[in-house]
Amino acid sequence: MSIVRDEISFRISGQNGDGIFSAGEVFSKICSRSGLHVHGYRSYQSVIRGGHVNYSVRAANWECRAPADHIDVLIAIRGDSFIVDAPKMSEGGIVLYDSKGFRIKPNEVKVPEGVKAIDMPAVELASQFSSLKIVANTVFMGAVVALFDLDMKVFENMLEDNFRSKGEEVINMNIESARAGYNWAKENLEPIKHTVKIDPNAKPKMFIGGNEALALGMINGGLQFYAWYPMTPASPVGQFIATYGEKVGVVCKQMEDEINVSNAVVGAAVTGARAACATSGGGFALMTEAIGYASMVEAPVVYIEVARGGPSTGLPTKQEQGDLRQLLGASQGDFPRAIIAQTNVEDGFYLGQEALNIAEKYQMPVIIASDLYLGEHFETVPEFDYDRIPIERGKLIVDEVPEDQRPYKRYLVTDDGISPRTIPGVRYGQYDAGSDEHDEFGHLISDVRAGYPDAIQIRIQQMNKRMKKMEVLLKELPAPEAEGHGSNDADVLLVSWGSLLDIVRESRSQLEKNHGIKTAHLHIKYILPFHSKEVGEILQSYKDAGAEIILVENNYTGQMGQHIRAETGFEIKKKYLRYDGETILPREVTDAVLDLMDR
Amino acid sequence: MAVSQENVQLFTQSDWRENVSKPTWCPGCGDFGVLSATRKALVELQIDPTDTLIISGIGCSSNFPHFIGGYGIHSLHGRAAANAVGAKLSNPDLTVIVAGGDGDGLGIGLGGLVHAARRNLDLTYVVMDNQIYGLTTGQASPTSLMGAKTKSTPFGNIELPINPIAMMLAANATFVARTFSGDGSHFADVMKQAIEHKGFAFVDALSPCVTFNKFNTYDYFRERVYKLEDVDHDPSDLMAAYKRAYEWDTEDKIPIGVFYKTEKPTYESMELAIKTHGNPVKRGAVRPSNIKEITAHLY
Repeated sequence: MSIVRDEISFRISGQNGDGIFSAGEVFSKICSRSGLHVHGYRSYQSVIRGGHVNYSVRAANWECRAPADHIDVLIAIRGDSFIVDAPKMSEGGIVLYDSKGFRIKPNEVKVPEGVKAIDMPAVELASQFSSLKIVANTVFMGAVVALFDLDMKVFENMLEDNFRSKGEEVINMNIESARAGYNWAKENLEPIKHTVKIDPNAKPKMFIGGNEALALGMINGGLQFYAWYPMTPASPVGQFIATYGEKVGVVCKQMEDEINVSNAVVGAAVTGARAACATSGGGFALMTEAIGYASMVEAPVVYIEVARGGPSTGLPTKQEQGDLRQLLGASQGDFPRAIIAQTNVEDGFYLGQEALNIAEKYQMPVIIASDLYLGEHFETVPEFDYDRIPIERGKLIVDEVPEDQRPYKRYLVTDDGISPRTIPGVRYGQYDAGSDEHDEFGHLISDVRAGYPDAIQIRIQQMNKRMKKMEVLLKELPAPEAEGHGSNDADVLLVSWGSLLDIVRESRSQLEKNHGIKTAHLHIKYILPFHSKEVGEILQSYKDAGAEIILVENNYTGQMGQHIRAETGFEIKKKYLRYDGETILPREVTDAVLDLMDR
Repeated sequence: MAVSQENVQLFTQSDWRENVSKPTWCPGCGDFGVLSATRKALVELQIDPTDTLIISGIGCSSNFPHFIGGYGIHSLHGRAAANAVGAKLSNPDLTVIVAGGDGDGLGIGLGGLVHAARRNLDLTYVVMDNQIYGLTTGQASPTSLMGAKTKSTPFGNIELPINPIAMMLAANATFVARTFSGDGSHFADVMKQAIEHKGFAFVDALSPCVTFNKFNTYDYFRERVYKLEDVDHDPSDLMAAYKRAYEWDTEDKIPIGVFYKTEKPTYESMELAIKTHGNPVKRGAVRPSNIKEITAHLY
C-alpha cells in the first residue's frame, strides 16, 4: 500500500513541440485556481524541436516551495518518458501513455515496481472532436483531473479563458475533449489517494516565475531603463519588460552584445534613470569591466546574473550555482558594490525593488545572483504588497544645486562616503563622470597630476570615500540568523545560499519528522558586503556545541564555503555539492545529510 | 535653444569653459582644433551646457569631455556609443555628443558605433581620427594606412584600413560627414550641421597626431583635401556618397564636408514607452499606477 500524501505531484513529458509546457501551465493554473499552493518547473534542452522536455507540477494546501521528491501521475507522450521520467515515480503512481497514438512500443514501457502504466487511447478519443493531434493533451489532462479528483469545472473555465479569442467552437471542442478524458479515467482507473483539499471558489493566486518576479519588482520600484542581450536563462526578465514596458513606462533596449548592455545601463544611470540588466554567466563575463566602471563613476545600476551550468557555454539549460566566484571577482581593483542572492520566487519581487534602492542610495552597482532553477520555475505567491518598499533615491539633486554647494563637487568627500548627485539638466551641477581616478570635482588626476603629492592624497581620499560606502551599507543590511534549533540542541547546521533556501528548509522538515534529527539552517542572502562577524559567530557556536556543520551547494568547489572561509576564517569541512546540472531535490539533501552524519 | 533673433547671446564661450581642466594634449595636436570648433558650433547654436551630455571612451581624444563645459561621461575604451544609447533613451531632450578616437570608435568600439548608427538616435558622433594609437604611444590603428610603420607594425602595416565614411553609409547613418581640424571654420560648420541634424550624425574628424604619426600630417591633409560643397555633390544621393567615400583609397583625394544626409524617424521618436509616457528621466522614477494590469495573465 502506498503512502497517502498531503500533496499532489504531476509531470508531463515528451518532445519539444508536443505542447508539454502549455499542458504543465494549464495543470498549474487548475491547481492554483483550486486554492492550492503550486510549484511548477520545466526541464528542457538547448534545441527548438525534438529533445526530451518535461514540466513538473506540485500542489498542496501548504506552501510547497521546492520541487517534488516523487511523481504521482506522469503523462508519457514519448517513449523517452519511460527512460527519463518514469524512474522518478513513487509507489502507487500512474503513468498514462498512448501506444497507438504516439507509437510507443511495448518493450519501451518500463516503470518501477508498484507503478501502473496505463495505455490510454487519448489520440483516438480526441479524434472525435478534432483532427489536431495536440488535442490529445487536453484529453490526457481531463484524465489527470479525474485521477487527482479535482474539479472539472475549474478546468473547463480555464479552457474557456484560454480559447476565448478563438471562438465558441474551439472552446466547446476542447471542453468535450477534456470531458472525454475525464470520463474515460473515471470509468477505467482508480484515483490517486491524497489528503489535499480543494476549493474551486478560492481567490486566485498569482502564479509567477522567479525571473518575472524580479522584473515585476523592478517595475514596481520605478525602473526606467532596461537593457539586455538574449541569453538563457535570463531572457524572461527582458521578455517580460519588453512586453509590458510600454504600458508601465520602462524603456527596454535589446543591445548588440552584453558589453554594450552593461555600458548602456551606466549611461542611463548617470543620466538619472533607474537602470538594470540581466544575463547569465557568459554574458556576465563580458559585463565585468563595466561593473567597476559603474562603481568608479558612482552610478546606480542593477546587474542580474541568472546562472546556468558552466564552465564556458556549459549546460545552457541546466542548473548550477557555479558563478559566485565570478560575481565576487568581477572587474579590476577594489571598489564598492553589493552582491545579493535572490532566495525564492516571492523574494524576487521585493529584491528587485530593494536592489534599485540600494544602488541609488549608495550610488553603486548591485549584483543580484540568481540561477536557472530559481529564475525559470514558477510558484503561486502570496499577494504582493506593492507599497511595502518605497522608492528611495538617496542624495539626488533634481532641481538646481543649492548656492552653498557651488561650485558643485560631484565626488565630495562625506562621512558616509555618499556625495550629493546631480544629473544632466540640473543647473550648476555639471561634472564629468570619469572612469579614471578623479578629484572631488570629477577632474581626472590620472595623467599629468598622477604621482604629485596632492594627487596622491586625492587618490587616498577618493578610495576611502568610495569604500566607506561598504561599511555603511553593511550596517543597513539585515545580518543572517540561523533558523531552527539553537546551537544548544541542534544536531546539524545546514549552510546554503540563494535558490536553495526552500529546498534545504523542506529537507530539514524531513530530517526532523522522519529521522528525529534536530536541525538548524544558516542561509546566506547578502554576499557582499558580508556579515563576517555574525556568520563567524554562528558557525563557531554550533561547532563548539558539537553540531555537525554541512554545506549544501549546487557547484563543484563549494564557492560559498570558500567565501565564508575567506571572510570568517571558518572552514566548513562536510559538504554536499552537486554539479550534475539538475535541481537538487529535498530528499536528496536529506539522504546526503544522513550520509554525512553517518546515520 | 533656438538662435536668438536680436543677437542676444544667452550662452557664450565662457559657459563652455566652466569647471573644465586644461587640455593635456601635445602642443600642436589636432584635437585642439576639434575642441575650439566644437565650442564655436555649440555657442553659435546657442545650446545650453546644462542640457548637454558629452560622452567619450578612452584615449588621448577621449579626454575631450574634461576640456569642455556641459555634463560629461568619460567612459570605458570603446563604450562611448553604448553609454550614449542609454543616456539618450533615458533623457531624449539632451543634446548628446560622442567624441573619441579612431581606436576607440573604429577598433574596440566598432560594433557599438555601427549599431548606434543604424538606430538613428538623435546624437552626434565625432571620431577624432589620427590613424594611430596615441595614448599607448604609437601603435597601428584601424585607420592606419597600408604600409604605415608604427610600434606594432615596425616593418609596415599589412592590413587595409577601415573606410569610416563607407562603413557609416552601410550602417544606415542618416548624416555622414568628414572634416579637418586644420580648417576651423569648416569644422565648426560641419559640427553645426551634425548637431542640428535630427538623427544619427557621424563626423570623421581628421585630427593629426603630431607625435606618433609622422605621415598623416597637417601638410599631408592640406595637399589632399577638397570641399564637397565646392564641387557638384548632392548629399541626398547615397550612391554618389559611396563614390566620394572611396576617393581617398582610389584617387588620393580626400573630400571633406557632408557626404550624405537624409531624414528618417529617430529611434526615440518611435520608442513606445517614451511615446506613451514621455521623457523617462523628466517623468522621474515612479511606481506605475497601472502595474496590476500587467499581472492579469499570471492568474
